[in-house]
Formats: sequence, C-alpha cells, structure tokens
Amino acid sequence: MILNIATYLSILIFLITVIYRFMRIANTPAHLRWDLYPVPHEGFKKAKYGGSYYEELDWWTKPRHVSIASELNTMIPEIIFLKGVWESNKGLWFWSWAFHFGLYLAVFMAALVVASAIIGPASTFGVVLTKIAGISTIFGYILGGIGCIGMIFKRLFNERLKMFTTVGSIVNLVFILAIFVTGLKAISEVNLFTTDPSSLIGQLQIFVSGLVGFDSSVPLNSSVIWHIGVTLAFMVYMPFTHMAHFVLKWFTYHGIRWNDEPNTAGSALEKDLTKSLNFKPTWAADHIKGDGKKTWVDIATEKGFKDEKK
Amino acid sequence: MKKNKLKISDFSKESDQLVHIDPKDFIPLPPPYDKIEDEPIWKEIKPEYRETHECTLDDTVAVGIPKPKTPEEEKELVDKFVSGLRKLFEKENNWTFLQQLMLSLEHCAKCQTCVDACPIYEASGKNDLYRPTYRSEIWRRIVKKYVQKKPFSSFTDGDIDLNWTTVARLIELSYRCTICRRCAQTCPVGVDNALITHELRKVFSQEMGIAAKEIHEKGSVLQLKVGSSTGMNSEVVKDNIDFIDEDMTDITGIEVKSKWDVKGADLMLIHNAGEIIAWPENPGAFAIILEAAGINWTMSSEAVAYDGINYGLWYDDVQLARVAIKHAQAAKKLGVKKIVVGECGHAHKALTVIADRVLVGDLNVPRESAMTLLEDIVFSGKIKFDPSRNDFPVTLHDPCNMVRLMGIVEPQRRILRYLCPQFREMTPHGVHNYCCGGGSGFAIMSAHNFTNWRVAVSGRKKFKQILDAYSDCPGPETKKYLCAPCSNCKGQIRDIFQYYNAKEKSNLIYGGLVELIVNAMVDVKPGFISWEDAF
Repeated sequence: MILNIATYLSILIFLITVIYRFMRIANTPAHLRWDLYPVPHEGFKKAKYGGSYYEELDWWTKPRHVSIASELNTMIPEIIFLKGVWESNKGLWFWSWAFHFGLYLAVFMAALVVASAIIGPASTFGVVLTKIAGISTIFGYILGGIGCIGMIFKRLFNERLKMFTTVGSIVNLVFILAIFVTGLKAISEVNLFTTDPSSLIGQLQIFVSGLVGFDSSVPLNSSVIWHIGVTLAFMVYMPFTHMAHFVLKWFTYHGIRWNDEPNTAGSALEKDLTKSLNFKPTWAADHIKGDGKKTWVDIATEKGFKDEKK
Repeated sequence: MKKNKLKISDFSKESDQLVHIDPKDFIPLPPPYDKIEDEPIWKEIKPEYRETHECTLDDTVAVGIPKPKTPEEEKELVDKFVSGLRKLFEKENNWTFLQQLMLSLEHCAKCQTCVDACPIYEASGKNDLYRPTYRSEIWRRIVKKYVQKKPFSSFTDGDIDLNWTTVARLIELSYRCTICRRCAQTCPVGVDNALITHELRKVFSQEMGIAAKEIHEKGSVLQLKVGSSTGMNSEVVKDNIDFIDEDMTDITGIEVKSKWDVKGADLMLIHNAGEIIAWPENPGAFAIILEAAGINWTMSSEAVAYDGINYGLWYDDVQLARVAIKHAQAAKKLGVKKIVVGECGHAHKALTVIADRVLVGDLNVPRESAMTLLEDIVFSGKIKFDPSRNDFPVTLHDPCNMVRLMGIVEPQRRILRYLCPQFREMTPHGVHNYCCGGGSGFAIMSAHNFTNWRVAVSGRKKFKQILDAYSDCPGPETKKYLCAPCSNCKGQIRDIFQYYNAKEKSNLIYGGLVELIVNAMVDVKPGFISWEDAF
C-alpha cells in the first residue's frame, strides 16, 4: 500500500517538477539571438562546414529550408554516443557514456515492463518484451554501475574535475549508483531471464499491474522493494538538480544554439519582441537610469551620453 | 600562489596576487619565436596604481577598480553587484538573454569538456584561472547562495564568500575571456561560459556603471556622442575618405570616388571607422570594387552610421540597441534597399544577428555581409582578374563573430581559392577557428600592460596557428599574407606581429580580403599590396 502510494506521488512530483521547469523556460520572453554554428537544420551540406543562410546574397528574398533529417543526423550520435564528449573529453568519455547508456537502458526496460504488464506478460508479444527487458536490465545496470563508479573516481581524484566537485555532485552519482546496485542485488536474488512472476521483470510487471489496477496486495521480494524505493526517491530528487538537462537540453539546442529564426515584418516573433521592448527596466547605471517607467524603446532611443562624465 | 593549485575559495581571499603568469608555462611557438628569453618583457603596473586599484588577479589589469576607502564603499560595491545579479533574472530587465542565462545557470554538469577548447587557457599553460568554467563556477555559486538564497546551496552547489575582493576580481576576470564561444561549441549540454562572461559584464556596466574604459567611455559613449569611437565627426570622416580616394586613384590608376548619402541606393555600406584611420586601403579597395562592378552604393554621413562598430555587443544591451537603431535609422532615411556590413566581424554580428530582434517595424532594413556581395561581384564577370598577381602564400583568419557565430564560412574562401593560387587553410579553421585573442574589445584595450597579456596569452594560440600555416616557408625570404576580414582582428594581429617582429623575422603581413581582390584586378596598376609599405 505504502509503496503504491509512494509510486503515485513520486510520478506526480516528477512530472509536475519536470513540466514546471520546462514551462518556466518556455515562458521566458523571446530573446535576442545567440546562435552558434554549425546549425544542423541548415542542411547536410552546410551543416558539414557550419554555413548559414547568411552566405547567400539577399538571403531574405530566398526561401528558408530547415532540414529535420540533418538535425537528426547530429542529434542521434550525440544522444546515443555522446559524440561531443568523445571529441573534446576522451578521458571522461567511456565513463560518461557507460553511465548515460546504462540509464537509457534502464528507462527502456521500465517502458518495456509497463508495456508488457499492460498487454499481458504471458502473451506472445509480452514474452518477447519481457525477454528484451531482461537483457536491457542486466546490460544497463552493469554498464550504468561501472559508469557511475568511474565518474565518482574521476570527480574525486582527477585534477581536471576535482576543483569543481561538490558534495552535491557526488550525492547525485551515488544516488544513481544505488539504483543500479539495488537492481543488481535484486537480480542476484530473483531470477532475471525468465518470464516467471518471481523474476525481477516479473515482479516489476506485477507491481505495475497493481499500480494500474489500484491493487496494492501484490507480494514483492524485499530486494525488489528496495530497488523500487531507491528509484522512486531518485525520481523525486532528480528534477530539482542539473540532471534535468535530459529534458531542458531541448532549449539549449533548439531554443538557443540552433535558433536562427530571422525576425520578419508582421511575424509572431516580431509581436513578441515588440511586447518585450515595452518592458520597463530598472538598470541603475548613469547611462541608463532605468526608473521602471521608461521602456526599453524609450531608453534605446535616448542619446545615451547626457550624463556621462567628461 | 602556484598555478594548478587554485581553488574556487581562493578567489575571495585577499592576497597579493591570485595567480602569476609565467612565460615558461606558455605553449611554445615555432622557431624563430621559440626562445622564452626572447619573449618581450612585460611592462610593470606602476606601484602607485597598484596601491590604489585592484590588481591582484593575475599580472595584468583591464578595468582597474579603485580600492575602497571605507567599509561603506566596500559594501556598496557588493550590494550593487547583488542587485545587478538579481536583475539579470528579471524579464523586465533581461528579456534579451534571460532564457540563455537560466539554462547556463542550472545545467552545467561540471564535466570540464569545454576547457581545452579555450585558447587562453591552453596558451597560458592551462592556468586554472583561465578555465572557462572557473569564472562561471564562481558566478553560479554566488547566484545560488546570495541571489536565489537556495537552501543548502553551499552543500549542493559549492560554497563561496562574497566580498569586495570577490566582486573586484570578478570584474577583472570578466575581461579575460574573448567571448569567442569556442567552449560553448563543445558543451554536450549546451551551457555557454562565454554568455556568462557577457552577462557579468552587463551587470557591471548596466547596474554598476563599470566597464573597460576603451569600450564604454572611449567606445560606445563616444560613438553616440560624436558619431564614431575614433572621435571623427561627419565632416572629418568625409575629408578622410576624400584623401583615401585620392590616394587610391594614384596607387591604382583608376579614378576613385566614394559615394555619400545617395538616396535610394541599392546598398548602404557601413565600415568600421577604425579602417579609415588605421587601414585606409580597406575602404579604398571597397570603393574601387563597387565602382568597377557598377553598383549603386552609398555610405551615410549621419552621426554613428558612418561607423559600423557596436561595442555594446560585448558588455551592454542598451548601448548595443542605441547604436543599432542609429544604423537602421540612417538606412531608412536614405531609403536604401539594404545595409552591407564591411570587413568587421563584431559589426556583422551586432547589426545582422543580435539587433535582428531589436529592430522591429520599419527599422528592420535588410542587412547582409560584405562577404556574399564580394563573392557575387568576383564571380559575376564584371571585373577581370589576374590571380598570378596574388601568387604568394595566403592564409585566412576566420573572425569568430562572422564565422562561428553567423555561419559565413565559404564566400570568402571561394574568393581566395580563385584569386590566390597559394591559399592554404589554418588548422583548425572555419567555425572551429581560434579567436585572434583580441575579441570582445581586447584589441582596442591597451592600458597598463594589458597589451602584453592579450598578445602573449590570449593571442598566442592564433599566432602559433598562423605560423604553422606557413611551416613550408617560414623564413623572411618568402613574402606571406594573412587575410583577416575584420578590423578588430586586424588590430590584434597588427599588435601580435609587432610584438614578435613578424614582419622582419617571417616577412609576414596582414590585411583584408578586398585588398587581395583589388591586387588581382587587371585594370589596377600592379602592386596594390606592398610588403615594403606594410606597417
């Protein structure tokens, strides 16, 4: 009963926090451009060397092409293989990749558990999903565990990293390591590769079925309960940390680095900008003297030197 | 304090000097510049200045905050700083960069993936003070502890003391980054340390009225007041351009007459006015090319609009907007079809990209780079060229603002491949280039011994890269040309070459792209580019 309620609450807190953080960024006003090249949606050819539409004469008279395929071509190797870390930080790459890929596999397993629990673990498709989930779990937890341990050592002892290591950064890693360790412990105590209800995947399927059907009477192995408990605690904790980058990274790339949308007359962007230009700043320096009454337009069209020292 | 022993907490502790710069730590340059004993001796900061100003960060000074005379003055600086930091997170005050800043505050994984991308950090011998993340980490900890007042932030995010020393050093440290954004390119999460530098400078300027004198008082303020940061008013600019036209006519044998205030022209050309003073052959060459191509062009003699610089880009959104609006108003007044930005990287980015979301309504006059226009002219067949006139080794410096931050990469290269038989690339190049070391205003900053620092440290990687591009012909017997289509980059490169005596030792000169184009024009007398006359 307690575990079920904790799960509902954890999922709720996780979703609310992640949505809140996402919306908080999404609701910031239209900002000035801060693009950084290469911008992959310029297309395969230009993305290869970092070109933009500014390379074309009278670019504003030409149709603007946005290539989703070229974006995916950049995003997929980055997400799956952490290409950027490989290129710029090889010493950290394996540990970081193992850590992230372990997490991906764990999330993938969770999705398969939910899907197989809903369609029925004993169905033909359910059996296939269960087996894939089992493989994903063992690989994911071992890989993730190794990655976590490697990252903890790097953060504590590597000259490059330790100056920036805080208690918080170690806590984050230990928390994730605890998920993998409790998971591996549960695997060692219950069978993994069978579709039997007593296996880890089977136990998790029963647990998910219980959640979906509001049935808290399902019997669970104590090591499985520990594993679920640690995972739920992490779900509540994680969105409050920098680890929320798993979702907010969308903005750093699509909203900033790759945001090359030109401002055109009568566009929605221009309307948003006009609204922002009417904000009333309070910057106090002498050359601005924002009093909360003058708008950005007022200030930007002032001479800007009246009160300067000679 | 020894390098690589630096801690974040050291930043707030009073000491004679946080770090020392030792030329022995610098990355080596290729021969004949490889002897440490030949490195120019750094100018000393005068003891009386040290007595009265903050000079305890490293061995140079860019801003120089006067030391407080009373505890109240100490407190005032800290309070104003916190007040400014708070405003950075208010949409009314910082709608311009709020989203970018929030993301860079909250999502750094502290993985240090970005650090090796920084040419200053690398060239200094990996001095921790110059890690792009060092400055950001201090800022992040201050924001979390003193602005957001986040519970347990010292535990979760790391501790920092905020006092006068912290603020004064942070002001200085915000002028040890060229905002080239090479580090941001490598961040897997998309965090941007250069943005944090930019936003810190904004707090100091917009809230506290503190900025490097050369970019504010003698820069954007002078430009708004007189018309140009060079101090030239409209009449002086026109006179100078007349002289340049006469010189160009003599040198090229072609009658050159620059155009002013032509209503309804096809384009309004806007130069960095520094070119007119320091590199007159550049605006001269533009005039020759545009005339030869039969283009209906003009320049504006309106105050501010004859100088394309916009230093606000580096430190102050308000100043940026004021200048950009003046540029657009001049174009609107003339009724031109578009503005073309000459060879100035930061003017490119300020007017074309950043101001794009400031110029609304009828101020949104189309703006483009001179690179695309020049490419169109060169390949149009309107002008005859003889590339053999440019048969000497040429390499290209990519101005960060034009290339990494705007994606204008190929037009200038297509021209060079066509007109310069010995064109060769630097490694790396294009959007992965290294900054000249003079970015974000450094090229015009030279107080005390700042020139020593910006040449020997921030410009070192670029100088090494330039020399490496000519590794097949390093000696003075081969004439070599560095093409740098940006005024600020040229200013920095001029200083690097002079500092290391590169003209004598390597027969290396620098200049823009238009000079190479004119040098190859069949109708122009040979020898437009001259090694003998170069600085």
